Amino acid sequence: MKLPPFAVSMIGSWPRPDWLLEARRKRRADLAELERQATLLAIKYQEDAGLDIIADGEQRRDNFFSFIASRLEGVRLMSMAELLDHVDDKAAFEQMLNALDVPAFAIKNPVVTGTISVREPLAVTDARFLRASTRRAIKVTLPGPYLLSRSTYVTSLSSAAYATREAMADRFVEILREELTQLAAMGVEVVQFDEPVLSEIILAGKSKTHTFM
Amino acid sequence: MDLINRVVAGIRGPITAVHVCRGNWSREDGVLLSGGYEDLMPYLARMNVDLFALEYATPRAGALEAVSALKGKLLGLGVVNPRTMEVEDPEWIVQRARQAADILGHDKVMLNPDCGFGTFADRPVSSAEIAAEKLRALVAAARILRT
Repeated sequence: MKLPPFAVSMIGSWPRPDWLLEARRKRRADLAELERQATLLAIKYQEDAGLDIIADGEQRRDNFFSFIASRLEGVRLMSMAELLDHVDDKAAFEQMLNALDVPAFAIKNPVVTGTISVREPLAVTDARFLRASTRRAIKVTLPGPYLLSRSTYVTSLSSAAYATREAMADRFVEILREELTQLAAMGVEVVQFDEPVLSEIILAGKSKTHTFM
Repeated sequence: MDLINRVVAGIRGPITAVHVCRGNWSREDGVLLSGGYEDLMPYLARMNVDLFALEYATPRAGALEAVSALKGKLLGLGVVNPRTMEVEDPEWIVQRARQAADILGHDKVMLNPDCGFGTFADRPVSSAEIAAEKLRALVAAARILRT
């Protein structure tokens, strides 16, 4: 699909309707159907506005990152309070949390606690629905490899499955390659890797005081 | 630094993109990370992806000139702030986009918000109505830019 110059798209996420948030909180049985409806609504907003590239609004994700725990085996959501018990250098950890570019206090962090396998694809199934729901070009978003390998490794919890962060990162690279290969086969026009902590990794992450993230 | 290059190596077809942002959870810019992209550019330039979606809607991103390090790549220019209620003027978006196009080329600039309109499910930074108005402002600017 040929894109015009100055093609317009969203980054990825769209505000979730209140009824979707409530359904998720109450774990309603028809959650999947409501997610489908919310996705169609997000698509319609973008089409009506005249966007050239359509995203699914990430209505099925709690955020761009934590959702991996619901799709992958071996990844568990943990609160920051739970994590503190596993960190050796607590002062450095808290310093890192302050520098962290997400509301660390507000979210649970996915942590690798076992061998990672794919229970449900991170994006491929959602992308298939998006492709079938619009005639325009589509954008699919995935958490990037730096985000995935930086913040999910906590030595005391992860080292049984992966001796090093690098070994775990290799596994995430494999998983992302498989997703990208399938998205390419589907003819997805744009695949975007989200790297919100890249600045912190590159510019501050060289410091060895970071025991986590 | 080679993780992203290993992910995309040898896979053809999609435009591959990296989105780098510095906080999308508060409406107060002061508590979010600041500083331009200048220091990141050498790293981004070595990534074998086609498109970089960067936030340039607020002054905290630094000078737009830094994108000259990404010559040959596509730029997803962040030109609306997803965290504010005021809708950007399409004319301002046009000016900003022309500035980027002067640096990278007319066919290398795409338009997008700085970040998601609903990054964290329970902490939406925007309402659907305002988000939709901001999208319409982007489309209005794109139409002017294409004439």
